[in-house]
Amino acid sequence: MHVLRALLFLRLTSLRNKVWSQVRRLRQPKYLFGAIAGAAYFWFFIFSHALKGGKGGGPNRAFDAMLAPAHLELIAAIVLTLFLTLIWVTPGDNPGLAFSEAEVAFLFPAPLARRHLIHYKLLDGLLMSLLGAVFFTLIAGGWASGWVGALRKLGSWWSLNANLALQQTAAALTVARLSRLGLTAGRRRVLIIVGLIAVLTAIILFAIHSGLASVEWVLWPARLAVRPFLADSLGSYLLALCPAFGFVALQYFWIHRMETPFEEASIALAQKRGENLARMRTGRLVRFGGKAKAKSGPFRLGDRLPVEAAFLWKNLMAAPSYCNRKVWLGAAVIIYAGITWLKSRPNVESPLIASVIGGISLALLAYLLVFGPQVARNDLRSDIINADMLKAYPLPGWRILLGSLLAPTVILTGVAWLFLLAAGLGLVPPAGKALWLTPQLRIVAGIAAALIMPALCAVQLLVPNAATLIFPAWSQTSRNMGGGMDVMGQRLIFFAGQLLCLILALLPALVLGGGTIFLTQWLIGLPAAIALAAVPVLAVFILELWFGVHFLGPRFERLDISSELRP
Amino acid sequence: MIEVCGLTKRYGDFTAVNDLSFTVQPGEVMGLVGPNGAGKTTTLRCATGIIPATAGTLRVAGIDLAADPVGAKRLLAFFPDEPRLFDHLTVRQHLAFAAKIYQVPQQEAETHGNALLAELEIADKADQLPGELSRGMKQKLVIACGLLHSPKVMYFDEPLTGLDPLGIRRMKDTIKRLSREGAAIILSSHLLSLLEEVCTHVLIMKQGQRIAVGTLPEVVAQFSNGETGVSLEEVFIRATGGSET
Ligand SMILES: Nc1ncnc2c1ncn2[C@@H]1O[C@H](COP(=O)(O)OP(=O)(O)OP(=O)(O)O)[C@@H](O)[C@H]1O
Ligand SMILES: [Mg+2]
Repeated sequence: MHVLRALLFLRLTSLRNKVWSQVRRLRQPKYLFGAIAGAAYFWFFIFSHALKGGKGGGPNRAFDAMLAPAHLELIAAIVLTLFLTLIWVTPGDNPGLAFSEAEVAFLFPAPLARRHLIHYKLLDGLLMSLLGAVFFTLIAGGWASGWVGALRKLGSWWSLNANLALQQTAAALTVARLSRLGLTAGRRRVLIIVGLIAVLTAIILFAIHSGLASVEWVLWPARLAVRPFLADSLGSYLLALCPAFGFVALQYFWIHRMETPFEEASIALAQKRGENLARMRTGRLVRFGGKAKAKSGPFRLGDRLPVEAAFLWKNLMAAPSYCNRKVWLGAAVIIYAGITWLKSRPNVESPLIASVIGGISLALLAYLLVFGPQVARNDLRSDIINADMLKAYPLPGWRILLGSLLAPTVILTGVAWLFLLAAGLGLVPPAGKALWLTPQLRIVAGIAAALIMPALCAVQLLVPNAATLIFPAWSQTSRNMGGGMDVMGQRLIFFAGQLLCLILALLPALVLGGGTIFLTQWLIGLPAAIALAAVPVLAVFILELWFGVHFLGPRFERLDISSELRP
Repeated sequence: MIEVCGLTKRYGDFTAVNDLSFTVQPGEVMGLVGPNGAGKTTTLRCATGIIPATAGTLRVAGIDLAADPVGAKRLLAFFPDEPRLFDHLTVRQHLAFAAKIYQVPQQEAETHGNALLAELEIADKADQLPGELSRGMKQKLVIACGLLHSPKVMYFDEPLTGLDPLGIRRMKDTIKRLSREGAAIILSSHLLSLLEEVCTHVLIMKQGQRIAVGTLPEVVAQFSNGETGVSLEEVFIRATGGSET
């Protein structure tokens, strides 16, 4: 028992220290403002909404009536059953019991029995599901019906979370046990599919033979698990809670008795999580494209290329493997062939579909321009963790920055061009309408936009990179500690700042470009005016880029990474 | 070759290095020793231009690091205590990248790089990612990248951690060879036997202060109180105020 107490001590102290340090860091303004912004966001968009929802508006009530508790229970049970099936079908290589790297290092070599570790992890899981339940109760407006109602919701959520978590562990451990007995992943998959088909056929046959009601027992476990949510009186709630927590106890006992060796898989997982954590701290949430793979370089680093090309080359290699020329060309061909085919069809709908696709592409382009820089982060933002390496290079800061901007610029430009292609090809006005939108005009506007695109993307990427350099401490917060309301608020502040900078950067270009079109279109016609306007717009963007890079370069050189980036 | 004058580095209120001065001439190897937290890594980072010094001037081959950082860095190589590599680049691609950054012509970089990989015995790992390398191999890769542009000035921070015995022997030989070829080298280490073997000079630091500097015999003489045959270990303990004094 003393072992368990020690482990629990570890867990609770860590938790307390974590919460405490989160509270304490509010003394720093960056966290305080972040927390305020985060809290405001939560209040306006979630809590107040949930509160209103909880009081029940008109349509809500009608909806509730439609879904009588009995129906609701059935639907919830079906969803839950499907979910549980999914858990068993796809446990993946999750070892079931997830330990952190430090836990692996301290606990695995310690003189502890395996069942102690299992106890520890299971209790930890229960604790975490309780915290999750608190969160769900708050989000779902559980407090709207007084504290008894809130407590009831809390209990329901806790039992559900705990059951799901335990079921996941049980599934993973069972699979691990089976694979120790020689069941490979491939055979397991076949077995699962065969098993599923068999069960489904049996159920269907049964249902056909003796009516739907006879197979409802399949849903019984899930029904019991969701019943606490739907109980109408306190008595029936308590009664419903008994089987739900009974399941929790049963699964706990079962997992504990299984005593599956989990260590090896846990070590592998801990390593992976450690890497993910390190990646998260550099601001990349998850690496899309999975594990790093050795690739051949995207181009040859010849002697004549400028030094910036080296950064493009390196950062393109960090991009997911589907970001390559072949995929891009394939997409372009498909877009071209598909839209041309649609437009050439004699029926009325096909050209309409083509123009809808064109319109959607245009909207997606706008999205890309706003959110793209948040996704394509293989620039200084992800490299800032290597800043000490970069700073040792014999290069002025602005060249490092410019080089870093290239890779995401190339990627965003590539995607933007595809959207432009689809929009330019698809957006054909119906015959007889919008006569001013001539094919000639579309081609010119499309090409002008395509020409501007690289510079525009680069300017946009400059903004978050500038934030990283000017407020390194701000942008590196996720490094020290994962979530929290303050961190979320900081992200919001950053995003608002980014939007503002973007508008400021676009404004001169819009004024100059618009002015050029306005002044010259009477003389040379709209298409030529648009082509002409591309020149000042491009010039503005390039100028902004030039100033930005030269303003930020010295900042990168002076950046004292030791105090910001090294814990 | 390396001139450090009045180097001071503060982290907030905390002074990690305080008014440190020394010079290293071509062909000299300066050993930097001191207890944990003495400021060795900080000194080397400042001397490379990775972190800005709070005060003081640093010159590499007569080039002021503050006035012309690019020119100074072109002559430098820094080998940090923790090997740091890019996740997505293979061993060979690291060399290609470093060659481009230091503007080593491609042809030369390839032959020199292959020779370095062979010498460091990681040629068979040329197409693997850092994630698949052991710590010692990563260290060797960092060394290969750093030596690619034939630097004149080198800083090694704990160069032997993680290397196998043969690797250690090779590393010592490499350092000695480089210094014979006229490079100025500073290395920080806790392994006093290494210092006795490869260093011509020693700098003893404690809490950011210089305790002693000079050639190896000079420093030993300074702390031997007239005794003979005092080991460097004994000198170190006396100099840094260990319990034996
Ligand atoms: N980024 C930082 N922020 C604040 N203090 C720091 C930072 N980096 C180092 N220090 C402090 O500066 C002092 C010197 O650290 P440094 O890393 O230079 O020591 P060291 O001599 O290399 O030690 P070791 O032998 O352990 O490698 C230490 O007291 C350390 O706590
Ligand atoms: Mg150190």
